[in-house]
Amino acid sequence: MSDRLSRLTRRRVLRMAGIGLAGGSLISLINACAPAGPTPATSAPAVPVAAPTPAPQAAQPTQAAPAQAKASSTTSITVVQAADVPNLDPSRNNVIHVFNVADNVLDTPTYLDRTLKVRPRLATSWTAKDETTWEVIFRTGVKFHDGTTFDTSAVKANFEYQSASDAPSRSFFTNWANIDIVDATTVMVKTKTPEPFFPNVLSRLWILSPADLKNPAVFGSTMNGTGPFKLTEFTQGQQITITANGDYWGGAPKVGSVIFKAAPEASARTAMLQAGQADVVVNLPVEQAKQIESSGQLRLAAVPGLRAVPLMIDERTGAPFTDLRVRQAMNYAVDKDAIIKNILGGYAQQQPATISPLIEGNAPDVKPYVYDPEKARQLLSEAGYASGFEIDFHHPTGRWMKDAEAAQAIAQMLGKVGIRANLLTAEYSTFFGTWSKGDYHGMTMIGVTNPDGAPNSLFNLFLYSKGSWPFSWTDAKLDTLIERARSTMDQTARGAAYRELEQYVHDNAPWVFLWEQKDLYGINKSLKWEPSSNEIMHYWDATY
Amino acid sequence: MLTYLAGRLISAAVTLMVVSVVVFVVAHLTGDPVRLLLPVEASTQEVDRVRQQLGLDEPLPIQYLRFAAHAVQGDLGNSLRYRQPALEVILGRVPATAALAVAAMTIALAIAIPTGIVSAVGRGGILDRLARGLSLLGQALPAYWLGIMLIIVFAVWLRWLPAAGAGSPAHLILPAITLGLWPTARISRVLRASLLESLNGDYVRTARAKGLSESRVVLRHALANALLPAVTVVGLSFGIVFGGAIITETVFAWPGVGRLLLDAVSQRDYPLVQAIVLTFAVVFLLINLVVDLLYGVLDPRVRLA
Repeated sequence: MSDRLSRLTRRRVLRMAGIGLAGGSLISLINACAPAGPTPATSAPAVPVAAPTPAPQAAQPTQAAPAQAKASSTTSITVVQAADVPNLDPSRNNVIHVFNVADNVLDTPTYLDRTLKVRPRLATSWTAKDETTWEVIFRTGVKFHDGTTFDTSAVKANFEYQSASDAPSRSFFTNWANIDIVDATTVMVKTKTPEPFFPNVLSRLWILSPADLKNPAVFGSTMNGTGPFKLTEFTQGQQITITANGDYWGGAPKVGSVIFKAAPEASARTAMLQAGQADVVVNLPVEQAKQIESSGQLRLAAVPGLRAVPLMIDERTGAPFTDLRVRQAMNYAVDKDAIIKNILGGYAQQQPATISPLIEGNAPDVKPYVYDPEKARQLLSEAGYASGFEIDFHHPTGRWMKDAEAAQAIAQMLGKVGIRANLLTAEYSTFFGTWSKGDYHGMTMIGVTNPDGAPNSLFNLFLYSKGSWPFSWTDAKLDTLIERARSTMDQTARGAAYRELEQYVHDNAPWVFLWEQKDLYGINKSLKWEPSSNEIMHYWDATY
Repeated sequence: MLTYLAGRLISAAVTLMVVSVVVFVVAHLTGDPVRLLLPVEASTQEVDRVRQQLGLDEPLPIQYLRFAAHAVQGDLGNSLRYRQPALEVILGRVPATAALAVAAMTIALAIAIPTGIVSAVGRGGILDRLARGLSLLGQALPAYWLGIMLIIVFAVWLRWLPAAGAGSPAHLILPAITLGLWPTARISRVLRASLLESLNGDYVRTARAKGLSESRVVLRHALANALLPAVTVVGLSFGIVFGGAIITETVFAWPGVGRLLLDAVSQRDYPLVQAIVLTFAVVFLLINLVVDLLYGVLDPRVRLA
């Protein structure tokens, strides 16, 4: 009898466990599948207003695509980025996928258009009153999404917030001494040293509602700016929805909403585009770019970007890098054309020196080193390295376009002139952490950019001996040229100074100059929208 | 029973401590989060300042002790990227991972139990060989390959299901199949082996001698006993599926804890990495404990002391 009872108990336990498991599964399924955040309110169709739109460069019209290639609806754009947005505050999250959301919800005083020209946004004009004083005049009649009125007190408050000690964004404003409010539309900005690229820096100052600034913790769920879109949904790890601001001072956007999603796996991003579940996907690998290029349904945008990928030579390594002939020989030894064509799928262009051809300061007369292994051998021989030498070559994998494959090809090419490069590969986070501490010697493949579209960052960081980076090139003449170029307020004189600087950098070869990679986007063919060269996506003028 | 439970809990606490030391040391040895947090343009002084703010300038043992002291009070620190308590970030992602794990295990059980039975009953036959072949395939196929193949076929070619992401029950299907295939193969093999053993038992011969139908002999008598070892495998598989969904979640952009872990590792978000690994360890230990306790309930011959 007792045995029977105990068996009954076991059965009951099993039955209860079964019911519990089934119930639990159902609850979990319902929880996980239900939208976690509020459903985005669909905004009314965009109403054109008289004010000029902030983006005068209309997207290039493209041929209309078959209906099945288009995702969701004609009033919504689904953008799939490569990484999640962990927190919406762009001043505390120094990553491009956060900027892409923020730059559509928040206005900045200026912005860089698709060709990286500085354009007015919240500011209507900016004037250098003297070498270290800039007057900036802002729009009137602008409202934040929370209903409060925008004025210059918001500009000052945001400057203080974004240059606070815990804000990564402060590095853009380290040369700003202070902001004085003249009246509701005018501020005076004092800089510590002359700053000719002040208008570019203004494009990095996001203007949030002062009410948000008083409670930064709310950025997880809300973000009020004056921008063309309003944030309506932020479901961490899943999606962010921004909807058109019908009252935007620059005219309402042409699409009703933009939905940002994230898929870390590139093939999943491409599949979402192919399946019509995405309208724009970013960071395409070369193979998938080719696949999209050859499909009739989708469009590939290969945009010349600001990201250059050189080999930086560590001066602290000493000989043989102290000899100019060795550095030049390395530049002659690498067949950049062959790598761009055969490994990078043609999605890059040769880098002649430091400044991208897309931004002010570039020197069109400075040409890339040509591939000439014979000359490289001769220079090495003259420098006393006829039998070559051995050197460490650090590079990451999976960070920049075909980085590891390109590094192997470079090592082989260097090998042909006698330079035996020890390839040292690392996952990017480890690579960057080690390199930035100055623990790598020899040479390092590194992708660098001038994020504000001004030419100074790279010089200040890596080629200016008195700069802020833990290690840098040391050359007194180079220091003088950099100091002169970056503080010349007159544009013509500045252009000449940068050209001289670029020629000097090219001839002295502190880097092995390689290429500037293109940014690869897959786009729904019926969407009329073009990406920008600084990797930040603006959707206010996008349309179907 | 209570003594057993107390012993298990103490050993679980020790395991957790060891896990926390290992994950802390490994995470801190792999790189510096501060440089990744700041823009490239940040000066050495700024890097040092932030390192100091985050307490990363102190010796590693001191950092660990501070972490451990907070952890026992349930405070696993703030995520560097999310700028909110790490545990809060994880708990926000647990439902998605749990749903995926439960769906994957449901698929696994629905396939593994019938195939295990068919294989054992028709041992050596064509169905057995087919089932064993499929089971081998299931254990051999890497999740990232299978996932991408499923996406290409069902999302891109047929357009039946969403390619990736979350937001509707349909989004769950492909990742659940991908994640469920491995435990399907494992459970099916174990069930087949234990059912074969049961079918050779004396009580099965007796049942057959009594004239019971073959289906009753197999399902009622042999299977009831054969399920016991399978319970262990199901429990362990559940733990592995819960913690091992990293690849599946990444391929399908599923907003679960696995994908969060991958992001946290690549961004050197130490507090988040530590908190996730500890959460996984707790889940795994709990499942193990439940399986062991369940074993005692299911099989009267097992007595826990």
